[in-house]
Amino acid sequence: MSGAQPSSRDRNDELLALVADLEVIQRRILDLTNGQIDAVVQPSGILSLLPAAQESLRQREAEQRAFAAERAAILDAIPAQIALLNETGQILAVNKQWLAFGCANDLPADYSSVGKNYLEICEGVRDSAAGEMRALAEGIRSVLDGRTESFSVEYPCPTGHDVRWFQLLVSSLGRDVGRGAVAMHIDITRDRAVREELRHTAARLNTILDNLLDGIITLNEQGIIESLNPATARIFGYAPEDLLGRNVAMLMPADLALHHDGFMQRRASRGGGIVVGFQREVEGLRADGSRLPLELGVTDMQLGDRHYYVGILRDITERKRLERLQSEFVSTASHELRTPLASILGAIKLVMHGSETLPPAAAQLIGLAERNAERLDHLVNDIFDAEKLASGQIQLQLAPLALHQLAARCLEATTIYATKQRVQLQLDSASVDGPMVHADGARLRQALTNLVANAVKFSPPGATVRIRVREQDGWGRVEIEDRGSGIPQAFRDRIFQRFAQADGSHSRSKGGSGLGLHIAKGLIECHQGRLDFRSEPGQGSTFWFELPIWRLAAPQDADHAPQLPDGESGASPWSGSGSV
Amino acid sequence: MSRSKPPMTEPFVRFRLYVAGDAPYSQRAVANLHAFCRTHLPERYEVEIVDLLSQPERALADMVLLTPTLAIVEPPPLRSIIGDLSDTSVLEHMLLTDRAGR
Repeated sequence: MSGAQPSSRDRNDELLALVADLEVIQRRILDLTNGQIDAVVQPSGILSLLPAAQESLRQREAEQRAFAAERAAILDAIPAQIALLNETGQILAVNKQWLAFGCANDLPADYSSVGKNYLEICEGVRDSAAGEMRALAEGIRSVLDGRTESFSVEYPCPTGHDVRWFQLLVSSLGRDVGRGAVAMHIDITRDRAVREELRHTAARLNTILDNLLDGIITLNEQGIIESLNPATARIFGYAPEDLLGRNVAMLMPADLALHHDGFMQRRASRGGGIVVGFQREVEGLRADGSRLPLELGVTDMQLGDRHYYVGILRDITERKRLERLQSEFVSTASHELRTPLASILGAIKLVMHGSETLPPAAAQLIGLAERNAERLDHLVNDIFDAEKLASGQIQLQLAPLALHQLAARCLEATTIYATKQRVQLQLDSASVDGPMVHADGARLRQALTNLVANAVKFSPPGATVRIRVREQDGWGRVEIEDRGSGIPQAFRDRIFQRFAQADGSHSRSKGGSGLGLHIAKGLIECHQGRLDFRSEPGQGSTFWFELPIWRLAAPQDADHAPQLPDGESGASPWSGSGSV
Repeated sequence: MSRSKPPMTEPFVRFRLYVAGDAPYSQRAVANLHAFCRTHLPERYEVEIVDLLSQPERALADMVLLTPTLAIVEPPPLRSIIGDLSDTSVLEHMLLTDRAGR
């Protein structure tokens, strides 16, 4: 019947039809929107997400959780106290170190935890650090307000027992994220201490360098001056700024500068091996163009992958002048002494060996005069020779000669003295013609005589001094072995020094100037030879020297010997002669 | 988002965009709408984003049944567009007819 309630059956049919329509509607909506729908609002007001949107949101949440975990891990891994602040200064997030700082300093657990306002915390500090903390707050605020992108300050932080230093770095989060900032406290106590220490060390070193009389200069591999002390500038007459960054060649005379450039290039191409510090005398060029003598020591220095040279310079102008003065004085004095001495000796010999027989008392006195005049003559000659060796003025008359024959002549000359000392001399040679060397016979004989006389002097009566001559590994070798008391350990280092004496009283009792060994060594070295000794205390000593063997086929080039231009006559009876 | 005084001739446009949180089509709709406005309505538009996940009551009140849905609130009359706005022709058409109607 019309107007009556629809039957349950009709109601069901209508419902089914509506549901069918709903399906059509829903499909149609999806069609029309190309499926670009995330959610549908139910008539009840409940929003239902479509499955694809649900899945997508779940994934996004998972990503955000993972990102937050990563961020926390990264923040915790940074060795600094980090907090994230919003634009009002409220703490949004902190890392582990930030929390630990509060605990370490006996602050309440929530002193600066998430949710607190960091600006208020800083400004609330009332102790001795109040001023510092207000400055921190102001710095943070300037970043939060967008007045600056970042802020950094170092500040002291009293922590009960000591003061630690921190650096606060605040940087803006940037526009994309919105206002806010990252605040980071870094403990720089150690860095500061190291920096402070470095500063002190540098200041100390600079004071030393500034007050040093010697010049110290640093060069890079190209020879450019990287640093120098005031003394360097003073020595050369420049202002320090005129030298910095310039090539060191400007401090050298032109000839030396060329050589130096070559040296630097060779060093560079070789890859800069380490040169052990060496010292030598060189010439320098002052700002005014004059030359000056320098003593130069150079050392290599490797700093990281860079290579430097450190030069230590000493102006030896004054020393040179004194040396020259001394040398001139000694040679003049020696010369002035020798002339009258020769007359005295000649006169004494005339009186002694004259036809008239002297009364015994007079003969004794004349003998005394002769012995002392001869000693004086030896002494003056030794001083003269030592001086010539020191100044490089020894002139050698080189000729081939046989060492054996030289030794034989030398022994002959020493026999009288040896007999007087009741010491035997014995010469052992492999061959009477060998070994041949190229030498100045007079000078070599002088050296050998000094060694033999020394051996005799220090031998006990009745002992034998053995002289052995032989060839060994391309060297002609002479050994002089005595049975004396040996050379004390303490004396060995300076035995070849001028006027060296093992023990004043002892040496004096034996006589001698203390120049003999010094002269012998100098003479042998002038011949490109070497002289040394071995000694057993109580057993005796063996002095030996070696000279390069001279062979006819390949005569030793005379240029190798330190022969100086003629400048002194000093011709001896052996000069120019062959073997004696 | 940005608002400044509109020129006399060009009407100011106020949108309301209903979204479901960060759901993909909702996000795309936000991006597409901003891109459209920057190009066609510089300096004379405002967008209010309504997240129905956090404010579901707004859905029934404004008669919005699907997200994303864009409502052109001003100038009247109120009109709606459903979808992620990847096709902007409907939006263009609505704004043009609106101007033509004045």
